[in-house]
Formats: sequence, C-alpha cells, structure tokens
Amino acid sequence: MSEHLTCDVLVVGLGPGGSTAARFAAEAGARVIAIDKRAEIGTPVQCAEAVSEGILAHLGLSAPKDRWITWKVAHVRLVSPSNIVVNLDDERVSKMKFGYVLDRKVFDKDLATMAADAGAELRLKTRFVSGERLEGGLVRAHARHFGQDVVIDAKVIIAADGVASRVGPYFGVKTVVPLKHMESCVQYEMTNVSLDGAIEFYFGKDVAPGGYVWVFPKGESKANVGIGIIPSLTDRHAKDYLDAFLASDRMKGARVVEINAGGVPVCRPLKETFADNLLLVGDAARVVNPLTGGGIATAIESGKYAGMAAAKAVAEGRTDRAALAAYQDEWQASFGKRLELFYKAQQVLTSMSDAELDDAATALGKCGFESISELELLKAVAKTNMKLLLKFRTFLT
Amino acid sequence: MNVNKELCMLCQTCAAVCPSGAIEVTEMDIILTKCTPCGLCARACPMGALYE
Ligand SMILES: Cc1cc2nc3c(=O)[nH]c(=O)nc-3n(C[C@H](O)[C@H](O)[C@H](O)COP(=O)(O)OP(=O)(O)OC[C@H]3O[C@@H](n4cnc5c(N)ncnc54)[C@H](O)[C@@H]3O)c2cc1C
Ligand code: SF4
Ligand code: SF4
Repeated sequence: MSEHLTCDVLVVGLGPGGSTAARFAAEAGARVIAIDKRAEIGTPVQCAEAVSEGILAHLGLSAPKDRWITWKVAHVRLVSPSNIVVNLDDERVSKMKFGYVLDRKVFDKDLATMAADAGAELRLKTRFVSGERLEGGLVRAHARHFGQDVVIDAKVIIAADGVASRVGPYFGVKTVVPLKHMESCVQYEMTNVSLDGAIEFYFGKDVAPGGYVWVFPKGESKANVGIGIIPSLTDRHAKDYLDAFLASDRMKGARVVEINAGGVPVCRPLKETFADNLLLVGDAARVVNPLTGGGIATAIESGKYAGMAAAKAVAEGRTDRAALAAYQDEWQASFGKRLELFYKAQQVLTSMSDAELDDAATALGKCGFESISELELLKAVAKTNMKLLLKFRTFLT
Repeated sequence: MNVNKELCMLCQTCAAVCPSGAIEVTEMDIILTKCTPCGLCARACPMGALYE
C-alpha cells in the first residue's frame, strides 16, 4: 500500500536547518510537511554542540531555554603541537561574546517541536529515497515509512538532509564533497574528565592532521571529547587519532559514556543553493564555517531564510529558479563573506607545519586583542609574527 | 567496497564523498552498491570500517 500526500513545501531532514525552515515556512502560511528518517529527532548526536550566542536572534528568542545549555563558555584554551598553551581568559575575555555548549538532543527536538507548533506536519521514520519533477511545476518525493511507500508532491522542496544530502542530485544539484574538504570526526562524551571550565583545542599533525581535538565541557566533569581530521592528509582514521589522545595524560581517569561519528563539509558553499522548486540549507548546502567546522548557526539562519523564501514563492504562485534566487542573496548578504574568509583561513591552517603552529601559539600568548572571534585570533597571530604574516595577509585588510 | 558493519556508526561520511552515489545509509543499515573502487569512502570513514 502506498500513501499519497500533497503540500506547498516539503522539508527533508529535521536537523536545526530543516526544523527552522519548516517552522518559518509554516508561520508564513505555507502548508508544510517535514520528514526525517530518524525515529527520534536529535538522536544520535553527531556534534560537539558548541554555538555562539548569536543564533538566538535568528530563532526570534531573546534568551536561550535553560534546558538547551549545558555549559556557558568564558574561557578558551589553545594547545600547540609542542604543548604551548594559550589561555584566553584574562582581560581579553571582557569583550568576548559568550558561547554555549548545547544539549542537542533537547535543542534539536525543541526546534522540531516549534515547527510542529507553527503548523508543520512532521513525519518521522520517513526516509527520502528519490525525487522527480512533474508537469506543471510540481516536484515529487518518493519516501519510505515503516515499510510502506509514501509519495509526496510539493511546490518547493527544501533539502535539509545534512552532509550526505540525497535530495539535490535528483534535481540537478551536485553535492559530492571532495575528500580534502571532508572533516572526518569521532567524538566520545566522557565523564570523570578533569576540567576547569575552559573549552580546549589541541592542534598538530600527530594530534589531528588538518583539524583539531576538542574538549568541550558539559558539566563539572563531563565533556565532549572529539576530533576532526582531513582524511586526505593521512592514511589513518579519525578514531585512531582520538584513541591516541585518550591515552594521553590529559584524559587520565576519564570514561566514555557515548560514542558519535560524523562528517563536516569544510568547503565553500554550493555555488547555487537553489534550483527550480528546490532550496538547500545547512550542511546540505555546505554552509558551514570551514575553519571551526561549526554549522549549527548557519543551518538555522539559512533554514530561516529558505522557509520564508519558499512560503513567499508559493504565495506568489511562482516557484522557479528566478523566484527562489533571493534566498541565496539573503544568506550571502548575512554570512557569505565571513564563510569565504574562514575558508581561506582553513586553507592556511591545514598548510601550517607544527613549527608554525607553535609560533602562532607563542605570538598569541603575547598579544592583546579586542574580542575573541576566530577572525581576531587570526589577525593577532599574523600581526605579531612576520613569517605568518604572508600566509594570513587576507585577514589584515 | 565492503563494510565491516561491526565498526560502522551509520554516520554517512562515506556517502557524502562517494562520487558515484554508490552508498546509501539508512536509519539502520548501510548499503553498498557495486562500484569501481576509488577508495575515497574508505579514507573518509572516521572508524576505518570500509575495505576493498
Ligand atoms: C563530530 C561533529 C562535531 C560537530 N561540532 C559542531 C559544533 O560544536 N558546533 C557547530 O555549530 N557545529 C558542529 N558540527 C556541525 C553540525 O553538527 C552541523 O553543521 C549541523 O548539524 C547541520 O545541521 P543541518 O540541519 O544542516 O543537518 P543535520 O543536523 O545533519 O540534520 C540532517 C537531518 O536529515 C535527516 N536525513 C538525512 N537523510 C535523510 C533522508 N534520506 N530522508 C529523511 N531524512 C534524512 C537526518 O536524519 C538528520 O536529522 C559538528 C559536526 C560533527 C560531525
Ligand atoms: S563513514 Fe564509516 S562509519 Fe560512517 S557510515 Fe560510512 S562506513 Fe559507516
Ligand atoms: S570506492 Fe569510491 S565509488 Fe565505491 S563506494 Fe567508495 S567512494 Fe563510492
């Protein structure tokens, strides 16, 4: 037996991007169906859960819900290959914007609930299998739900199905991630970790080639301990490196309570995040900060613009490329330039030798700067170290 | 390509780098279709679960 549904906007994927898109499309009056292959939103977690304060504004909230937050970040520690430690916790913190370590199992579920409350029809355990264009400007998705075929016809599909997006290719958008732009990640949630409240980053080619190890506190002695590496730089796997870190003195006595794995696309965004009847958001659109691998904020923001753009196109009766192009202009105007800078920074970072990383840490230890954003850090390093200046010159203008 | 399902976390990293769309990861399984092995998926896998 198969089920046949119709709607204005079909959202595939209920991560932060899809839930936000579904919510804003529904709030703008569109009939929305949102599907996810999972039975439980937010589970399993595939994320280190750190975000900056700024995301709340895009959710239309002035304060985060207490239950989303496991840790408020006020201290950042960077550790270079030769163990040069940079603590960012002194006067430099005064202007620092707070960040949070979230509980994404709760956060993601709440975002999905907000979409449902706004009127979106959520369908869990419903997996997008294939798509096609129909006559008359409609698109059709074939999905599977508890062993049954589900056919969903829509005016616009929003692809929010994450790093391994399957939606785009059916509508002419290529989404393969080149190996050199794939951050391959594993993470353990751990307890009995010795912590002093800092979020920690460990760099070096033997520690995490092309990426870093992170220790993000989630409580007095609980933390996300994870790693991202660029697999084209090594023959070993992310788990091998993380297990080596776990065997180090830093992690003595710590115990694993959960294991996660995942990939982050640390590339430039797709050239076109829209097509006839199609918008792509979040990881599916490759709108991720390539330097940090952070994609929650950009997934939410792109999701919001996509939801609004889709609802508007439907209301105006035109859902072709031209009618949807404004979506891309909107996210470009908001964070396009920043992503491009971070992309260049990531290219520099992955090209730095261990000696250069040590130099950078030494330089950072000495300098003061206005605020602790990734950009300020890079500028500060470049200004105090002539050798690095050349590599970082893009950021000084 | 082959997968050692005992190592696989169903994280989809392999599917994201596969140039021929030969890997599908559902909510409970990983399905590999026959391919000319390029090896990209095996390198991308954080767990080392894929082998030729
Ligand atoms: C280990 C790791 C650590 C990270 N740490 C951070 C961090 O600290 N801070 C940060 O900001 N970002 C981090 N990220 C990145 C962040 O997790 C993603 O950028 C973010 O989740 C993207 O949101 P999204 O909504 O685009 O996609 P996702 O959150 O990936 O959601 C996609 C959804 O689509 C569903 N789906 C997939 N395929 C189908 C299908 N065929 N049919 C139906 N549904 C489907 C999935 O089940 C999923 O629910 C990390 C990523 C990893 C892997
Ligand atoms: S990348 Fe590895 S762990 Fe992840 S789904 Fe593929 S085979 Fe499984
Ligand atoms: S070997 Fe290459 S073509 Fe085959 S599944 Fe892996 S990435 Fe795809």
